[in-house]
Amino acid sequence: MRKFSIVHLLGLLLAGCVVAQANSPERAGIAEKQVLAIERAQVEATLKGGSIAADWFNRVFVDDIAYTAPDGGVLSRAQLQAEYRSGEQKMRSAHHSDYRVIAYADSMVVTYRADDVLERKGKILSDAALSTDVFVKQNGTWRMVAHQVTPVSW
Amino acid sequence: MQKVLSIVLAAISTVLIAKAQEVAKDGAATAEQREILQIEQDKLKAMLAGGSAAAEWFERMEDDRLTYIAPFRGRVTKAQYVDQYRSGEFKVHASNHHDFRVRVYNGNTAVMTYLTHNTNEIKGQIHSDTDAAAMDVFIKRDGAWRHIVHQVTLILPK
Repeated sequence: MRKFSIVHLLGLLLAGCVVAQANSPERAGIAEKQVLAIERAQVEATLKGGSIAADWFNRVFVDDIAYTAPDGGVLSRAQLQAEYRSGEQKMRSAHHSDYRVIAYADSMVVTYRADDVLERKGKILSDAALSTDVFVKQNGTWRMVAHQVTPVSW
Repeated sequence: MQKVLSIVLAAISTVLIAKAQEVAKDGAATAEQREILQIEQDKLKAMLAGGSAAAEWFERMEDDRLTYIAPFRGRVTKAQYVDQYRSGEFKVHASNHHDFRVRVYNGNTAVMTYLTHNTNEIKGQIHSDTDAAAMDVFIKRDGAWRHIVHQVTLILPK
């Protein structure tokens, strides 16, 4: 009985800690750091290109990601992976800045300015653009569910 | 004028009902998908009504930290967006949205994508967009969907 009480008490304390963490302002800060680390990894992977980029998309993007390229092309994850693997799509250079992160309960919205030079199907796309990435937490891991790039005049 | 507007709205409603059925092609549309499509239908009505009707609808539905990115306009805050409708600086003259797809994650985050062709007036200048790809993201809070992201990208001719 006494053993049960101690175990029970420890369980309650642990549950309390988890709730406190979930409600704490630190949680948003931690999540922000996590998604910004994913953003940095995305730049590295796309610059490496080919199968490295394709494999990275497989790990981080959900399979039905809503993906809109700067030319307005709507691609599935499989199409994007195939384009990178075949060399049809290549990131020639990437400079991302002015990150803004908004945290919601189970999702994060990241926007940034992208000064990229992207080659897609033989065309060079190099407009300055604003990009948005939306992340959702699934089984404790942030997965990207949407990515959209909009070229804008500055 | 009122009659013309009613006819236009009725036509849009018909298109949206048809599109809602398209979402259900791969299986029955979930309750969440139907809710999101209903919001889209209400949004179109508000946009075409314009002025304070649109401003009030967006005031009610959009999160205060809304992310809004569009060609010709860049980043726009909710306050700016609502003000632009209220002042008449921004008007939607015609709107054709189609090819809707709604994805729902964890039951509380919805991503809707669609293709659009709008004729807008911004500060007196008419912008008849080429076809564009649009995305809206919603989160469910206290049982109600709130709009948190709107982004539009022009589709370049191939």
